[in-house]
Amino acid sequence: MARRIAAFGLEDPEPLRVSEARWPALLGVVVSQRLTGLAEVGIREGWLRVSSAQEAELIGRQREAMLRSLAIERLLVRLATSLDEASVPFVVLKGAAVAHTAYPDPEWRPFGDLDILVRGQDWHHALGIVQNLGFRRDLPEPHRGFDVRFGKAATHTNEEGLQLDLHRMLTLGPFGLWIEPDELFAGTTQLVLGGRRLRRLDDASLFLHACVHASLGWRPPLLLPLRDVVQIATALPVYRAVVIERARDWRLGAVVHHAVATASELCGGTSGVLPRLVDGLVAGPRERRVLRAYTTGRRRRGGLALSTVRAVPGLARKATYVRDMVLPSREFLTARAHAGTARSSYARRWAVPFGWIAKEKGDVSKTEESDVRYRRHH
Amino acid sequence: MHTSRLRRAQDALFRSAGGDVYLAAADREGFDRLSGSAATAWMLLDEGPTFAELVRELASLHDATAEEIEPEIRSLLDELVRRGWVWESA
Repeated sequence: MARRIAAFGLEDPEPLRVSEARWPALLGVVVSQRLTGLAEVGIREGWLRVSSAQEAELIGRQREAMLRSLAIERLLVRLATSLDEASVPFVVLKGAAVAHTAYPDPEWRPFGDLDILVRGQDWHHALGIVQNLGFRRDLPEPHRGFDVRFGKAATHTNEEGLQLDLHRMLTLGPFGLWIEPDELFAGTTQLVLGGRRLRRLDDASLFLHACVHASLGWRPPLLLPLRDVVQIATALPVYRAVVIERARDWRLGAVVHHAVATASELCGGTSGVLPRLVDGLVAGPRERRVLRAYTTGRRRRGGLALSTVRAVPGLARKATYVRDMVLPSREFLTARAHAGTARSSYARRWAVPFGWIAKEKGDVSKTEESDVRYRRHH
Repeated sequence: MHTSRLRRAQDALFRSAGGDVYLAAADREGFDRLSGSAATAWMLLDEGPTFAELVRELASLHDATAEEIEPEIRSLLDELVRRGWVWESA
């Protein structure tokens, strides 16, 4: 049912009725996956059939989501003022950018945090500005200099509980390393919000980032990022030639195909826009292998870190990455332990690489076999 | 106010939910909420109407005469202008 709500207005006109018994669980998913906006519009248009009590409950949750989105936009305008004053270029990513450009109305698309991309050369300057606005970084970098060498983003939280992700890359791991940040900055367009002229990724890069987020962000993929993929492809003038050129340059072929296939399922595979958009895009064997490090159980067993080691160019940089991962600072480990995240001690961190060695020895033939099978079927 | 155009302030951030409109601005904390006909008026301000046009539209939507609702709308707009959510332009 949540899947159908995520696909509201795309293809399926059959009304959705929700029983009293299923409502609490459905509402829980709708809230956690930020689908309250789509659900509210669905109710307003008579597609989602719920009781008046259920409607009131949903509207209450949508109101909370909208107030949070507004608070984040207010933060964005304040941050933009500070970054502009400091001459730090930045790009607005994900929620705030997508809600105001790809959806009929930003109410359709709540967002829970602010994502901002800055260049590596401006990283420390931007960190200082964010902290001056009352934000504290959730986790320190694992090792001094890690952020600008390999880091994707630093999550910050303020006293109100608002979250701000300062990005240097779009995603973790090899795919993040393969996307050229300067090209991201070159491919931007204007986003006007609260009277301010900001920059967002242009339509092709917005689509590619939505694919990256949908495929690589969570396992299994979340519904709203999948909806974003369909929404951007159908509502904005995304040019196939540009998508294919950038996806090839950034080695995103496998990611884009994975996102398109998964997002197509959201609308019952009936939307022809997505497959046409990526027709002719090639996914190389290495990209497909790396994708599995994100989208299969290997991710939790250190597969992503191992793929990143392979993708980092140069022996010295590889060694630095391994050192940063295996021997992070005490400060980092302590912060992780307080945050309740896994692998908060040296012993636990070492357990994963030792696990790799054991598995690599025992499972090489199986890995090769599954790669061959994958190639045959694709 | 009768001949000038009424526009939402450019720096107003807003969302609607459940028929209400919530307003926020970067230079202040908290949110303002517009309900009922005030929320409808906010939506109509997107077109940049004159005061007379706004009253006429709202009267039509609420099945009332312009004379009946004009004082309320005037009071609402005065408050919106005072709080910086609406600008008047020639």
